[in-house]
Amino acid sequence: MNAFKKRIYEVIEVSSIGDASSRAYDILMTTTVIVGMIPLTLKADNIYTFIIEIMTGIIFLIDYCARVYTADYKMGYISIHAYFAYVLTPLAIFDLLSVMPILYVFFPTSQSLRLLKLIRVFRVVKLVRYSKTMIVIANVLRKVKKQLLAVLILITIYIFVSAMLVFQLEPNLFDNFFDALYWATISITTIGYGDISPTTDIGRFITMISALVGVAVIALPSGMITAAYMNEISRKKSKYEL
Amino acid sequence: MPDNSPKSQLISDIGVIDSKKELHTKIFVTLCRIMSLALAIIGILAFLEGNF
Repeated sequence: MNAFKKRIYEVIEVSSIGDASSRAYDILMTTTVIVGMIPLTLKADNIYTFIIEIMTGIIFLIDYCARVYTADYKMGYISIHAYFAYVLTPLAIFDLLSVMPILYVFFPTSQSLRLLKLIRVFRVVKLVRYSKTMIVIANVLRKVKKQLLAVLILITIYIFVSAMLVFQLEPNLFDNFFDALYWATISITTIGYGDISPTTDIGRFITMISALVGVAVIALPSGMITAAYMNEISRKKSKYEL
Repeated sequence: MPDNSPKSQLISDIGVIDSKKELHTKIFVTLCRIMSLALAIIGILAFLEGNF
């Protein structure tokens, strides 16, 4: 039984060289993820999207059950806790979310289940497993997540502060505070749609400051990620050279 | 005389035992390929039906 479970684990994990079954399974899963996104590109469903939903839902369900079944191999220790620990990992949560949209196929008139259709977009996260490049990027993001979180908090505080300032200084410009937040976000990211723009001098002054701050702050995450990515590439290169 | 027996055979005292592992692998790989192809075709048909 252990040999059977181990074989399932080897097949569903990313394929090693020479493992034809695992390679075929990786291709099937990649195809399923990509085809599963096609209904999101259409305005209305048709018979083919119905078939796609059924097939992809069943495949993802089998994949999820197989991964939970072999969770002890994945987590590296044999214990009932390994199964619980696995289902709480981010990829396992995305795997479970990938299965949920099939419920909408069986209850199409349900408005609450209609939201499940949007969850299909999270299936693209599953591709991280099957792409070496995506695994590298995921490792890079994991390493810089504290720095990225610090920058995100800084940007969020600035957006709220500038939104509150302009909301008070130009009350006629915004219908509600969410409009002010929208304006602050569009200004600091230097997108500047122009659909909401201040008319008073003080409002425009704050907009100018937001744009200048935005150029500096928004560039920080890309610099961090680039530096971490170059380090990761160098590390892998030196590992292979040794 | 060269030994041409396939690796999935076990020659024991009770006789030659054929392993079904290679057969299972071939069936599984074929099934995966058929399903991948079928999904790809249905996906293309769905896209064409919905957009044209």
